[in-house]
Amino acid sequence: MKLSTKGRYGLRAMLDLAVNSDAEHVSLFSIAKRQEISGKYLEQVFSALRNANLVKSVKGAQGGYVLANDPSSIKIGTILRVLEGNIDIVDMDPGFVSLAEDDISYCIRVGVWEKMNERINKLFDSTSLEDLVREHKKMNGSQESMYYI
Amino acid sequence: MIHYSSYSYFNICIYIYNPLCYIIKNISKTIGIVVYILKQAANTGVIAIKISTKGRYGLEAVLYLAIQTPAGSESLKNIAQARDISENYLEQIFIKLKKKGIVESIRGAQGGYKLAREPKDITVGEVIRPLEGSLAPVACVKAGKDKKSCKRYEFCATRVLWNKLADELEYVADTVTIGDLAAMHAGRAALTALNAQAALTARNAGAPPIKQTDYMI
Repeated sequence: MKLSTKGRYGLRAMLDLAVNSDAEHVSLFSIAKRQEISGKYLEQVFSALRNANLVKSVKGAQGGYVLANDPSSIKIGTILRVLEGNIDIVDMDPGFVSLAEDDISYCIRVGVWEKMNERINKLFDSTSLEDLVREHKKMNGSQESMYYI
Repeated sequence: MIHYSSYSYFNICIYIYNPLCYIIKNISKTIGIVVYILKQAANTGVIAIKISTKGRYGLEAVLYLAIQTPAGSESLKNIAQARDISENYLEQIFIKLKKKGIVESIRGAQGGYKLAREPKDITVGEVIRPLEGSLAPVACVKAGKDKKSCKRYEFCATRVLWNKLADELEYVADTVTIGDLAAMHAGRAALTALNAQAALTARNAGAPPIKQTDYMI
């Protein structure tokens, strides 16, 4: 899991969508504006999210996106895996692991990296979009429309 | 390298930083926009949580020293050869680790490096942090004065998540010691020996060769 802009911005965009979801649907343009992310970039991100059935698109001139599910059932882990692939703290190509791994590499992989990956995945899979919405409301006050995530 | 400043320093920064920021922001708004755009362009993937080869090789080298040389020292050349790491790269790593008191150097013909402390007194974090700079997944995590690292800092809910992520990484890094890894290694080496012995015994007794995977965990 390289925390590149795709994962970070995608997560912020999903949170934006969740916070503004009392509107019928939210336009990509408005998300891009609030989050200060390029619209083109967001298009790519949302294309991936749509394919993974995390969001649904509403067509038309006043179109936009809605969350495909209740925010409490959308886990952060799911979102990040869609955008970033497998969550892994080291860039280990599986082929490399089986060929060049001796006892020392094995111990470090199992004793350190796998432990970290386990905890990272556990954190991400036990945190839902709803949890972040709650956090956001705490920080920003629930009445205000969200301008910053 | 991201420094975690103390709470009072953080407070001072708010009272001086925010008003100053407002003034400067208005004067240099145009410049700011241009810089911001450039930064965003350059920012793709820059803040990464991946541990690089520096951290990985550093851990391997330290673990190697813990296993090979409980008492004596090992030359840079031998360690580099044993772990298939370039000597130059390894030297850079050891210079950093020496500064942090993880390893010490022995001069002379029989010289080299050895661990400066007991393996059980060296945590994984103490090896990785000097080599990776920090375990923070994004620049704003646990920031005091690095609040300016992101202008969304005040209102950002995802920051809470990144902080928790950093906590998880730090938990593993600060609780697993080189001693733990060395113990794991000893167990693994014993298992390898057992496998070899079992294969030999079976072959002598005329049994078909045992698959390596049968005994391995």
